[in-house]
Amino acid sequence: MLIHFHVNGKACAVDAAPDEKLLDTLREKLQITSVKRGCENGDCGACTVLLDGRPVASCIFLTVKARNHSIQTIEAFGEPGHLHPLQEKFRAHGAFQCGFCAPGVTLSAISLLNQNPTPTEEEVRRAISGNLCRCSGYVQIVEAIMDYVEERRAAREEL
Amino acid sequence: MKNSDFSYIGKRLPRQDAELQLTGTCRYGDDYFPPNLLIAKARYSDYPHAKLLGVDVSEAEAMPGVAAVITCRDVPYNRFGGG
Repeated sequence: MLIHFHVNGKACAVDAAPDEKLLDTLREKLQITSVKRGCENGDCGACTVLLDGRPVASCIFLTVKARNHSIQTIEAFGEPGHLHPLQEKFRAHGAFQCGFCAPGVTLSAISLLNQNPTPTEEEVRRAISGNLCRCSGYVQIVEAIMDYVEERRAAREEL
Repeated sequence: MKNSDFSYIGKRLPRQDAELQLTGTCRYGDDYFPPNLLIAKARYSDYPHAKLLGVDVSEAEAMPGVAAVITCRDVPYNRFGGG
């Protein structure tokens, strides 16, 4: 089945089986390995992508359901040498150790911040609750996001 | 000697691999696709607590695209499991 969708702003057409998961399409057919294969159960969030701006677990999302939708992976927001300001915060706070969950956590956080630029810590924690991190204990991840939120708030108030 | 006399001690240092991890460009074992890569799949018993009387892999071996079916007999040293 030929499926058309947009990935990071680019029109894509892939031949996908009816039971093919979006994770497999992205990793194996489009070579986007920033989308991580973790639990394959929709539990860990390593495979998170944004579908029309909302986070979904691509390991339990059928590729055919992405037809005519817009998908964003972490490549849409930053690349080596040109990090997203939130990625800069993660780096400054030493938020990750192995980094396997980092693309997914970042996408969940970006989705939240697009809907709500001034979330509380509670709202941040809820937004990334679908992304398991087995290294960090989440403290530095949440601190980095809150630092970003506060910095943006201060910048807006200065205007 | 003060901390400021050192190059690293007492200073915040960005992690060298953070940028690769954050941008998804860091390659983990699962991210390598060498030529002629084969995919392995484990087949477990249908019964959680049972005596293994025999393993017949002929059907699996006959499946199209199957390169090999490996059982304990292919592993020379089997301290646990036997064969």
